[in-house]
Amino acid sequence: MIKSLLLISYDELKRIFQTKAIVSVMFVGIFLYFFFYPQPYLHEAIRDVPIAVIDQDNTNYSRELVRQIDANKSVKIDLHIADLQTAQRLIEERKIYGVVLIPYRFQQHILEGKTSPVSYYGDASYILIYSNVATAINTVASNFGAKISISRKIAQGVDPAVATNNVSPFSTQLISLFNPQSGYATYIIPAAFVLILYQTLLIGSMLCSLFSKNSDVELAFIHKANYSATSSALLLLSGKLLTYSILYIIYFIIYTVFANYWYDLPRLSHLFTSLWFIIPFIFSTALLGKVFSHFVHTVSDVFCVIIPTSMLIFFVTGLSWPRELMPSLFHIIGYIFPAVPAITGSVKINQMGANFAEFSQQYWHLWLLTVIYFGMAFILENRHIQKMRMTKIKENS
Amino acid sequence: MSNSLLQVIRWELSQLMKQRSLFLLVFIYPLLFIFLFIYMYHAGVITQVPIAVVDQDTSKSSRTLIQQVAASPQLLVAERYQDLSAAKHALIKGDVYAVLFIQPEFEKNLIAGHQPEVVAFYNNQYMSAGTIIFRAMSSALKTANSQIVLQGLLEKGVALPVAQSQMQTVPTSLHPLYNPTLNYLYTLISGLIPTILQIIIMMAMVTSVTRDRFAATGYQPILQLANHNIFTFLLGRITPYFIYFLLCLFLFDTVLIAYFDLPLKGHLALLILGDIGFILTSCLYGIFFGLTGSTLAQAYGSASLVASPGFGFTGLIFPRIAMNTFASIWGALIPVTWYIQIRLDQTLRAPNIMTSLEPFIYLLIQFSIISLLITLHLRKIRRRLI
Repeated sequence: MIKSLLLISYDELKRIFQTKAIVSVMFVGIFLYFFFYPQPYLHEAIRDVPIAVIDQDNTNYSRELVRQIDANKSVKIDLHIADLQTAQRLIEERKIYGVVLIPYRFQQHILEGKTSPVSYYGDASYILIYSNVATAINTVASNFGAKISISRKIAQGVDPAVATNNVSPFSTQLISLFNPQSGYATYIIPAAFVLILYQTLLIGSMLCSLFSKNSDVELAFIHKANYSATSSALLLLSGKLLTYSILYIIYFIIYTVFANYWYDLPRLSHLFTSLWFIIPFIFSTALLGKVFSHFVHTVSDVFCVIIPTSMLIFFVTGLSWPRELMPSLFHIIGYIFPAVPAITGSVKINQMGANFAEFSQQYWHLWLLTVIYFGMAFILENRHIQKMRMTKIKENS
Repeated sequence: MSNSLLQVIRWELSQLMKQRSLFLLVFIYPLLFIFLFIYMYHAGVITQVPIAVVDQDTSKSSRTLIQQVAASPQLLVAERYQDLSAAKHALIKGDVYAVLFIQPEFEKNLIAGHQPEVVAFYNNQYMSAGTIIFRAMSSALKTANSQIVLQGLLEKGVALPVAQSQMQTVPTSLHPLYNPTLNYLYTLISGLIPTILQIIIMMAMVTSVTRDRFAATGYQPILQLANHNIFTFLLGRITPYFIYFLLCLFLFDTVLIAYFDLPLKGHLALLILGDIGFILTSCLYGIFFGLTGSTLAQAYGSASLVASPGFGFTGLIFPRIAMNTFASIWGALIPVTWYIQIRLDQTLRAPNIMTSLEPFIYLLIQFSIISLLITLHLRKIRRRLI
C-alpha cells in the first residue's frame, strides 16, 4: 500500500518536471513571478509628488509655509507659478499633480488674529496621489497654524504649557498597525503571493490530470486486479496530494518566509503555525483542480477558464474594498475558492501575528473545502476508473 | 479579397463556437466580470468601516468624543470592549478595522488641563480601509478638540465669530479636481475592467492562433482561405473578437455613464478611438504570443505573464510616477496602461488636444511594432509553406 502510494507520488513528481507545460507553471513560473510580480511596488510609498505653488502673498509667513510643505516627504514643490490657469494646464499635462494657493494678505490676516486659509487643488483622477498629498498639506498647514496660535498666546503672557493645552485640550495618537510605513509592497505582496501559489497549483493540478491520461504507471494502476476501483481512486488521489504538498510547502516557505526577508516585509509568525495552516490550503486547491480536470479536455481549456478569474478572487479577499461592505454574492464566491480564506488567513498569521483563535475560522473553512472537494474528486475518479475497467473488459471479450 | 476575408471570418467563427472553453472565455467572462466588479463597487466610496471602542473612562466627555467619532460617515462603531486585549483580538480576527482607546481619567485630565492622550489603533495591512480610517479618525478627533476649545472660549464670554476665528489659524480648503467625490468606480473600476479584458483578449487570441499552429495541418488551410494574404489572415482572425469586445466596452461605458453618472468631459470620438486602438493592439499582442511560444503552455504562459500582473504595472494600485525604472518601462509596453490614460483623459479630465494625443502615440507605437513583428513572422511561415 505504502509502496504503491510512493510509486504514484514519484510518478506525479516525474510528470511535473518532465512535461514542459507543467514544469513551466509549477516550477519556472514560481521563480519568475517571485521576482517579477513585486516590481511595481518595491518603492513602497509615494514620495516627492511634484506640485506647484501660487504664492500671492510673498511674505515671511507664506515663504515659511512653502518651505515646510516642501520639507514634507510626500511632496516636492517643483515650481512657483503666477495663476490658476497655468496650474490647470500643467495638471492637465500631468507635469504636476496639484497646486497650493496662498492668497493675498495671508500674513496680514494671521497678524490680525484672523483665520487665514490656504487652498489645495489636486488631481483626484489619481485618488491615491491626491489623498496622500492632501493629507500632507493639511497636516503641515494645521501644525503651522497651531504653532502661530501657541506663540500668540505666549506673547499674551500665557504659560507655554497652558498655551499648548489651550490649542488642543487632548492629544491624539493614530497608530498604524502591521504596516507602519504604509508601504504598498507590504500591502500587496503577502496577498498576491498566496494567489500566485493558488493559481499555479490549481492550473498545475489540472494539467497533471490531462497529461497523466496515457501514463503507464497510472494505467497499470487503474487496471490492477487486486485493488478495487475505490481503493485505486483513493490511492491515486492521496499519492498526488503527497507530491503537491511537498512541493508547495517548499514554495510556501520561499513565498512567505524568504520573501519577507528578501523584500523587507514585516513578519510576525512562527513558521510552524503558517505551515500548519497551509496544508489544508494545498489539499483543497489541488483537489479543486482534480474536480475541474474532469470537465476540461485540452491545455487551452485550462488556461482560458482559470487565468482570467485571478483578479476577481484577489478583490473578493477584501484587499481594496472591505469585505464587510460587499454584497453577499461575494461572500458566497469567497466560500467556494480556497484562495480567499487562504489569503485572509495567511496575511493574518504572517503579517499580523494572529494566534489560532484568530485564524481558526479560515483554517476550518479550508478543511471543510478539503473534505468537500475530496469527496467530489473521489467520486469522479472512482467513476472514471470504473469506466476505464469496463472498456478494457469489453475490449478483451 | 473581400470574399476570402469573409471566408476566414466564417471559419474563425465556426471554430469559436465549437470550443466550449473559448466560448465561455469570449462571450461569458467579459459580461460576468463587468457585472461583478460594478456590483462590488457600486457604492463608489467606502463608508461605515466597522471600528471598536474601548472606553475606560465612561464619562460625559468620553461619550461625547465617541459620538463625534461615530458621526463620521466613514466610520461605524460596531463593537465596544472593556479592555484593549479583547479589542486587539477583534482587530486581528478581522471583525473591526480600528480601535479607539480612551484611557481612564480622561475627563479629569481634560478639566485639569493635563492634556490627556487619546489613542486610535488602525489596521493598515488593508491599506485602502486604513487610509480612510486615518483620514476620518484624525478629522473627527480634530473636530472634537476644537469643539472643546470653542466651548471654553464661549464660556469665557468670547463672542462666537471671534472664537471661531481663533479656532484654526491656517485651515486648508481641499479641492479634489476631476473626481470631487473620490469615487472608485470612476478611476479604479474604469481601469480594472479593461485590464481584465486585456487578459481575456490575449488568452482568446493565443487560443485562436495556437489552434491551427499545433493542428496536424498547421497554418495551411487558413492561409489558403486567406489567399496567402497576411493582412486578410490577421483581419479575418481578429474581426469576430474585435466586434464583440468593442460591444462589451460600449456596454461598460454606457452603464457607467448612464447609471453611475461618470462624466464624459472629453470627446466621445477619442474615447471610441481609444477603445478600438486598445482592443486591436491587445489582439495583436495575443497573436504574437500565440505565434512565438515554443509550446502551447509557453504561449499561454508568456501572454499571462504580460497580461495578468498588468494591473500592478498600469498604475491603478500604485502610481506609475513612484515606480522603479523597470516597472515603469514594463508598464509602458502594455497596451492597457495607455488606454487607461485615454479613459481618464476623455471621461474625467478633458485636457487640451496635445495632451489627449500623447497616450494615442504610445499606443500607436506599440501597434506598429507588434504588427511589424507579426508580419515578419507570418511571412517566414508563408515562405515555408509555399
